[in-house]
Amino acid sequence: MQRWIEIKTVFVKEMTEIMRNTRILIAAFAFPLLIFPIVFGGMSWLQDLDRGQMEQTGIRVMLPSYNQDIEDFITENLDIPVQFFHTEEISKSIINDEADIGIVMDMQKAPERNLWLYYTASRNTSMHARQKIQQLFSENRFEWINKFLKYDISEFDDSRFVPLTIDFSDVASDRERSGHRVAKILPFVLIMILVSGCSFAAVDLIAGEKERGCFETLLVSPVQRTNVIIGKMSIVVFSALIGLISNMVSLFITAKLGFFDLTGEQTFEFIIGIETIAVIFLCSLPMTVLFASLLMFISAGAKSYQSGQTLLMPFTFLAMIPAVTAILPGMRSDSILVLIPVANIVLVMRELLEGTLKIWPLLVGNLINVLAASGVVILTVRGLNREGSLVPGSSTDSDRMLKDFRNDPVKVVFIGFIVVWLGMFYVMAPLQADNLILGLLLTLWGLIFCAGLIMVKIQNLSFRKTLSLNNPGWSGWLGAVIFQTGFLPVILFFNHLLTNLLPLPDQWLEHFSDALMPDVSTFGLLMLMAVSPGITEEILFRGAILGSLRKKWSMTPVILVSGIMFGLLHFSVYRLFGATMIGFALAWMVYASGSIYPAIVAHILNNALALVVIPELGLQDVNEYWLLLGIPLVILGGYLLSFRTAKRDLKRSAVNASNIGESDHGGGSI
Amino acid sequence: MAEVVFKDVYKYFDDTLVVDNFSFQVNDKEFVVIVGPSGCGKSTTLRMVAGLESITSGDILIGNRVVNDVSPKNRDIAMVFQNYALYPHMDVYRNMAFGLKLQKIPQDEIDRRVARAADILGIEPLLRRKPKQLSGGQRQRVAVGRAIVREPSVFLFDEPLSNLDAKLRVQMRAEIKKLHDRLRTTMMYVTHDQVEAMTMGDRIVILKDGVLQQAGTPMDVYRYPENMFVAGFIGSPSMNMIQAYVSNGQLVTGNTSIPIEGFFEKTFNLDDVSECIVGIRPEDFFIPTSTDNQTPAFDATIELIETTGAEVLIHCSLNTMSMVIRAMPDSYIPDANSIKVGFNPARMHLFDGKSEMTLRR
Repeated sequence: MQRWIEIKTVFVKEMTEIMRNTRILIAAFAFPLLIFPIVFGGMSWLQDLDRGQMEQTGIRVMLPSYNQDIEDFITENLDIPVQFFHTEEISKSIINDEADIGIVMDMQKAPERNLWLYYTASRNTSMHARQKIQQLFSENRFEWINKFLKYDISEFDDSRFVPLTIDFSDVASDRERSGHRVAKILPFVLIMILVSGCSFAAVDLIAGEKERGCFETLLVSPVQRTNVIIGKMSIVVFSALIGLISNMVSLFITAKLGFFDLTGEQTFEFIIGIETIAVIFLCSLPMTVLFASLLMFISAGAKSYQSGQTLLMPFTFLAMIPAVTAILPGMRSDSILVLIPVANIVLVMRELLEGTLKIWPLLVGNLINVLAASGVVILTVRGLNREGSLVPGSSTDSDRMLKDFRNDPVKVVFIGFIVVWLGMFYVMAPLQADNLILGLLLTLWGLIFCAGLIMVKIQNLSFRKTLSLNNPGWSGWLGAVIFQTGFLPVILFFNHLLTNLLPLPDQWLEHFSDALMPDVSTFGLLMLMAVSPGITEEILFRGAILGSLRKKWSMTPVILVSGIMFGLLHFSVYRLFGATMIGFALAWMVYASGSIYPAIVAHILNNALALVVIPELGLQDVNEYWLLLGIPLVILGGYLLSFRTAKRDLKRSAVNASNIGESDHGGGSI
Repeated sequence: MAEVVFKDVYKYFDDTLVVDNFSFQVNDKEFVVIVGPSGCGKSTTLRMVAGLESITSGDILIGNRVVNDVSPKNRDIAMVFQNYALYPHMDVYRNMAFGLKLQKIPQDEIDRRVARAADILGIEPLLRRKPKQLSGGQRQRVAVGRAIVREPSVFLFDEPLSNLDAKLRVQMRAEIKKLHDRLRTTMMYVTHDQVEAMTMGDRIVILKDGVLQQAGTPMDVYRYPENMFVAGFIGSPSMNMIQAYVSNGQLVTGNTSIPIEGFFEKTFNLDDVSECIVGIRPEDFFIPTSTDNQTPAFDATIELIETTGAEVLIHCSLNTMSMVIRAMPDSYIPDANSIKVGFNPARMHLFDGKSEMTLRR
């Protein structure tokens, strides 16, 4: 028993110790929690974007010859635009990117029909087209058979005769296919080697050196501090490149010795030639410099080698996100991905290995990486030149850090927001899926409202002042109602425009409607979906977050940040714009009226209109008249909201002016 | 010429004032020790001279040159740290030669300097050893050697002996002092140990909460402390502080009254003082013989007697106050619990009860 008590005592002591260490908390708790929402959220967002784009541009179908039946069938049943082209050289046209998919009807085995779909696995659009066409023919199989093949299904025994089979042919070249296999993993491995090569050296040369106490010695040696930093950066880059070269040599030798042959048709040696290795090495240079400088900068935040490792671990995972995204099936260099460091270079490597690399992603991607690396090097050198960055300063003990945290509203707000976001994602969302009403109530009052109060309490701030619990006067109340009545149609109009760029999937709309319509009376619905969010979300966003941030920042960044946070908490790319805009408007209301109450009223009104009135009107009818109706109301409401504070400011300046006047007349001293 | 001058130097870490209006001059070839309790700003002061910390306001001059914005490399200083800070992968020779290589000094000159420093410090046999193969004292010698080879204008020592055991510390402090006598270079030395300060410094500077309390030769500071903090900080055991007040021309403390006239009027200014603190060093107490009625004395109660061999420390209480008396081992100590404790008023210190500053004229 005594042993267990001792173990428990030590356990509690160590637990307390760990809980005091923010870095361990981030590495062991926050990061593992965040990684999947970020990775999968990011991936699905990218795929949604891609899919949305493809749905708009449609697909290009290549047929061997004109075939009215097939073209009609596809046009009638497919919900996206389709363009038809005709050529006998189906495969060639797909390889040359003249079409996304080729369809050939094999008549030889009549009465059975074979439908051949030609595509290339190395292009996203082609994969998407394949999926669409396959789905179309599978789902409407009997209609096709009845209408176009003129078979009476009842004549055939399904168990013995299959009237339509769908086969696939990937037209990617051998090189593309072999490269595609290698490219699935090799660029990712290389990026990881670069990151790990840089991180071990960076953590030893910065955090380890700090721990050994040698930094002071080095800094008082006859050498410039900047040169110390650049010298260290060079060795970090060098060590990572040594790792990269060793890896490439190992790969080359393995291929040369013929340890494995990926396709049986084309040797691996051909894919990993000297030229390929040279291009990969050159492309890796700016990336290595970027990683080295960034990791050195992060390491400077650690006091010891061990804490440096803890600090760098999340970064290693973060670097994986763009790398993983770029090796997803069908991803290609495009105008967005080429701007994202890591993703751009992984795609370049991938396309290089597949033999489909074009010159522009190579040049633009490397240019972007060189610019990014240069920027990070400059920031790192400047950052590490700052006092206290390389030698332990006075602000290292945990008590002081905790005090600093409590005194830093920006940190409190951001960490508080992350906690709320995680709570929503991991606890409240599943709870809402299980029991919508209970889940919503707990989310709003248990999480959001309490988080707002805790944020204020933790900073020892006045609730009244921070949450702006002031009477806004008649103009504030009235202004809020008029403003929001006008603001909602304006936002709906712009949202409508936005849906042209980012169409709302039907599934999402259905899900959203279900979520908005729980099985309660209208009064209950209004209390649950309008009044509760109006109070709780305002206390958090326009109360605690806005009230904390404005201690440090001016009005514009406070409105922007609190509004974006408000948008992000709505967990949907489709609702992001509208929620963020409303967040901006509500935050401005607090500034204009000097009170949170108009924002609460406006929020409640916004949700109530969205719940009760909008479904009656119908969103499909949104047009320019909504804008014309909304803008005058917004202007009038805005005027009323700022009426009282403007009047007060006017009074103050009049008093100041008269004071100055009096002192001037009196000629007295102050 | 390498005096170090501080002119109205302030240092803030964020909102915390660490060094408060520090003005002082370290003369050329002088050995100055900065001493004070933890957190008093002594290391920060030294690091500002080294260039490891920036100066919030004021000026620091080394050899008549303002070095506020001069990089450490160009300040012509060498610094020795508490944790030795030797490069673990380099042997002793390379550790000592590293700074010289950065200066691109010719190899034969490097060899000469390293050999000379090794000779001074007696570490010639260790030159090919790695730091992990050295004892704490040897490592500290190497760290000092690394500073010596630079031949700087100013040596800066940041608590270099704190990691050593007591015996080695005594030995090393004597060696550093001898080193100063031999090199005759300006040295600034930071320590929290008042014994080190007293034994090593030509002058000592006492800091508290970033404020300079007193600067002077060790004996001046010991004999004439300017305030209660210095009086209590310098000397071991600390000076005994006894509350007193002035009444009818008498200084009254506990059950003893001493007439001001004849005893104090020339030494102390007690004109407008009502409450004050009497400071008496442990060695300035004695146990009077039974026939001695002239010497002022307290009636005290013995609580503990400590014998160190070289001396005896008698812990007593006077009313609610504690006192320590230092006596020779062969001194007469009565068996009774209550004793009379005499003191020489000429060796007494008096401080204002409110400002805690000395009342010495």
